[in-house]
Amino acid sequence: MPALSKERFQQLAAWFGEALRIPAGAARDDYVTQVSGGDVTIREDLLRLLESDSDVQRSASSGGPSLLPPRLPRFGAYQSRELLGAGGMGAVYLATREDGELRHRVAVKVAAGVLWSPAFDERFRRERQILAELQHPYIARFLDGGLTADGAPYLVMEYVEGERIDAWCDRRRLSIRARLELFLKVSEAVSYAHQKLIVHRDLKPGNILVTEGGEPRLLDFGIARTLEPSGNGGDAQATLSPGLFATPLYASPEVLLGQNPGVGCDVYSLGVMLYELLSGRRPFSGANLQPAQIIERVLASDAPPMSAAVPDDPEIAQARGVDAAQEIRRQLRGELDAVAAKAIAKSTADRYASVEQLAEDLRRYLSGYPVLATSVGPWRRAAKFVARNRTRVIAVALIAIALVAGLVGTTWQARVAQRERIASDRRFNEARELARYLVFELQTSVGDLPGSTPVRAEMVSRSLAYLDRLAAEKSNDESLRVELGRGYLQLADVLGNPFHPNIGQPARAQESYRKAIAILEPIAAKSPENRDARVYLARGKLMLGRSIGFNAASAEGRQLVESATEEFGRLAARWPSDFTVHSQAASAYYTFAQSLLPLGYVSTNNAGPALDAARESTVQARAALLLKPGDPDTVRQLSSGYKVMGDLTELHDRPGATQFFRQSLAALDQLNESDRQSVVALSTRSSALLGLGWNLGNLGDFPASLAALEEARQIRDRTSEQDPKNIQALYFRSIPLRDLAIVHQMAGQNAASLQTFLANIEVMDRLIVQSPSNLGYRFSRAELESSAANLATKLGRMGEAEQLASAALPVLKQAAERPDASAVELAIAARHLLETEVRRLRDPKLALTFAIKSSQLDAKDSEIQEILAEAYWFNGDRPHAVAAIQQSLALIEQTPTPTRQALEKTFRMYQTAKLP
Amino acid sequence: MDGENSGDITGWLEQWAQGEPAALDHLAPLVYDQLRTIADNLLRNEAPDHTLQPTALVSETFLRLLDLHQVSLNDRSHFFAFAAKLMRRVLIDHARRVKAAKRSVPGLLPLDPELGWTGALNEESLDLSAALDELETLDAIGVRALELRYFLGCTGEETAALLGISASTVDRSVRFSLAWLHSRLHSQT
Repeated sequence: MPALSKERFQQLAAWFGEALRIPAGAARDDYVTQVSGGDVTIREDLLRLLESDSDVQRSASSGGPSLLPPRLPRFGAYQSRELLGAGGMGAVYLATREDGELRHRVAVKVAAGVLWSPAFDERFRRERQILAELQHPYIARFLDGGLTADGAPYLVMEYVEGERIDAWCDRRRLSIRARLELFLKVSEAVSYAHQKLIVHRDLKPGNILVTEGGEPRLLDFGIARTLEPSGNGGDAQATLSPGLFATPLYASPEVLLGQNPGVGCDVYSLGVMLYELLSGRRPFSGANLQPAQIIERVLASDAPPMSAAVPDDPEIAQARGVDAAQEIRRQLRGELDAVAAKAIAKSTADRYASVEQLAEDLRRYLSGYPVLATSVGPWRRAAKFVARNRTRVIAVALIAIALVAGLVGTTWQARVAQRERIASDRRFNEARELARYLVFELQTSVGDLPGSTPVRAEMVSRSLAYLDRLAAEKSNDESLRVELGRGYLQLADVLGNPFHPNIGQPARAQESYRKAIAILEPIAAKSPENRDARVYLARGKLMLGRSIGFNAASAEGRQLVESATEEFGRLAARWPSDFTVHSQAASAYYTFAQSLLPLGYVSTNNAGPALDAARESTVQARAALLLKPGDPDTVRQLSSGYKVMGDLTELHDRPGATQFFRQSLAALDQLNESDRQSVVALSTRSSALLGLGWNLGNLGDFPASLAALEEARQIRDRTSEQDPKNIQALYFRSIPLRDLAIVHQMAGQNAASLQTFLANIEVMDRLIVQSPSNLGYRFSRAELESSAANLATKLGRMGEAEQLASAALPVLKQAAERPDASAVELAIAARHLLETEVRRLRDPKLALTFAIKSSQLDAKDSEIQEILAEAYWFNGDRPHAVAAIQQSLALIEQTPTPTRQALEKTFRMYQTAKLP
Repeated sequence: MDGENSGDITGWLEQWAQGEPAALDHLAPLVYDQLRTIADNLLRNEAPDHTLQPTALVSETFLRLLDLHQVSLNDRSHFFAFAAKLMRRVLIDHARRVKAAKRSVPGLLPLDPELGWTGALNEESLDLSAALDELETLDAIGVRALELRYFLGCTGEETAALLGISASTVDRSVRFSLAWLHSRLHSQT
């Protein structure tokens, strides 16, 4: 603040004192405005003083303010002599150790505050062990470590007398070549540490000193990790404070985003330093940039080529032993540009995989060999990066769409004017490129992000509108039309692909699939060698078939899937080393297998062909994975294939089925950690867990069964809560609840079972609210209520049972009385009318009517025949009951499964027991 | 210290208290060495188990002065204020030396940019000294309170007793002075 008069000072002091009595906020501000009497200077001075006061008070509460020098603490055998630096994260002291006549000088780095926890203690001990093993001439030695009396961890390191690497290079006017040679020594040290599995994470010129002899010394290796409050692996703190220990100037995007950094982050930091040492500028530099702005740039923009960054500053040129910036640019242009660009690529996939590779390329350059780094197209780079930064990207996506709109608009105007055809074509291609990018890359990258479904739909449909207009403009451009077809496929997926997160509009989705098919069919027919057209067409048919479904009333769905699967079989034979074809074929065979299974009450008579199709699906998936190991979608497909094999095996071979479910779970282990946590992978996992849990329960292993089902439940609860508008996710919550309730009951845990039923009824209530016209949810709810009522009776909670059953049975009856009631609905209603424990609501007569109708609709279902037999039995008709149960036995596998044994028992009972 | 100067101390202290800056130069040689020792011990913390209280050490110094010379007990408060001022000079000198040392060894770890002025003594302490000088022209008592509180480590009550004002006045004054210094130092950068 500017100089003041003494009078003004005293006046300010008095107002300041008064203002402090008023709590900070509007009232205090009003007071300030009032006393300043319209004098802006006074007002501002006073506000600034009050603001300063709150800063001072804040630092006072965290240990300051003190004009006194800080105490120089003792660290074990080391007495600190001087504070070399301090900040939010801790402090660095110069310390000495008296050892007879010798005085060793060391640097002690101490973390601010107490980080102790048993887990930290253990890790700190381990890390010190690792650091002690880090012995390299270019790395400052780690000497000791421990906890201060206050519990703050400290590390004792060799004290290095040297000069920062950048200053050292400049002062000695090192040429580009000499700088590279020094840099290679630094790389050697980093590479050595990486071999010891230690990542630096905070490499910067300030951490690399050069001794008088010209040898580099790297400081602070492993410090960041060692002094962190807790280890990696889902630690919220580490994620919330990106770059807690790192300066944003040299930190890689993944470090700034708080992701688990690997060796790639050191490659990146070295890349930034290389860029700076050679060009004199950092890749994301700029006058007076705030850290937030630097982070913004590092994440969102590409650095200019290193050679282009060299400023017209004679000092910088002279510091590199030449006269003009032009000369440096000449030396950097081309190969060194490519090396630096590859080292600071945003995505670790585009970056050098190791420091050694970076060093190797530099050595190639120095020996005159061509470097291996080549420049990557900017779109590709950005797309790949985006794939790893999904949240941010959604936010910028709509802005990008606005940009497309602008480009397209320009294109049209240009065309209308019929001028500058070339420029117009260029813009056209730009617009097309952007729309493509938005529809495909961006869409794929945000695909699995929880909560993103509506945003994706918006993004895709808007981008597609532009593609549509572009296609209309150039209607005879075959490749553009293929892209358009593909765009419609993507849109349909978001709108209502039931096997992907979707916004629940299946009708619009089907429309979009049909549009894709209509666009692609003529192209595929005309050009059989157009692989893309054929692949997308087959996929469109597959998805449409899947969306329509495989109910008995309509054969269209199954036919579409069958024809798509046959086509994929042909495509796999025609393009045998095409990953996409194999991967999609796996998906097609899988869907085909599903289409062969009647939904609802599964009869296993036709399991053979379905099992074959499922097996073929796993074969195709494994072929695809040989071409692209670890591909997430294919891994999930493989897992699902095994899962279906388990489903198809379970009725005749439960132990065999559990093996398939375990294979299904094991397949997912091929995914990396973040892919494993994606919504689809979790969904696949939960399905396999359900299969495993259900079969273990039926085999009598209740603890393992309940554990698997409980994990499935938690996965599905979490998924649904993260994406509350996703109806499918909500519906999927009910399935583990159903299985849990049944297994609890089998284990004799009736109270737990009832509780689970009630939880499931709540889920159904929410589904009914979201989708009031869906009668299926009401039916399921009633079914659950009736089952819950039976349990409540067993637990002696009669009032509750009465209430539940009298709500449930009318709904079941009503549903079964509909003229279009399905066989399954009729059978379920019949069963509950026969078996309800609230005896006054039993209605064997009506149940028999329903059961007869059900068996007429589906004569091939063993379970329906069983219910029919039961209905006859309770109506006192022994001959029909026996006949129906015989029919039921004929419809299931002849091997002595528990189901079969139970039926045989019932059969004997109906033959001999007294009629009810 | 020899007896020849003894008669002057009270006089110089009084003159200094009345705002005669030259008095400092006459008084400083008498106690500078002792204060320098106190400051050095403080900075090095040579005996970590024994807490060095600068206030206690200054008291000791004063008592020795009292014994050896014709210093009236009434001069105690003057002496403390004077010692605090001197301590400030010693500490700032120390910071200046550290800064000079840093320049010759450019490879030392840089100070963290997040470090505020209130942390350790550092280059910014020199700005702090200039700001204190400026504050002194506006509020001499305030600076004295600050020096006693922060350079000699006196408590609020001790400061109040030494300056002959109420403790609440000291608190208010110190709080305002700190806020003023803070905004002064931050507006400069």
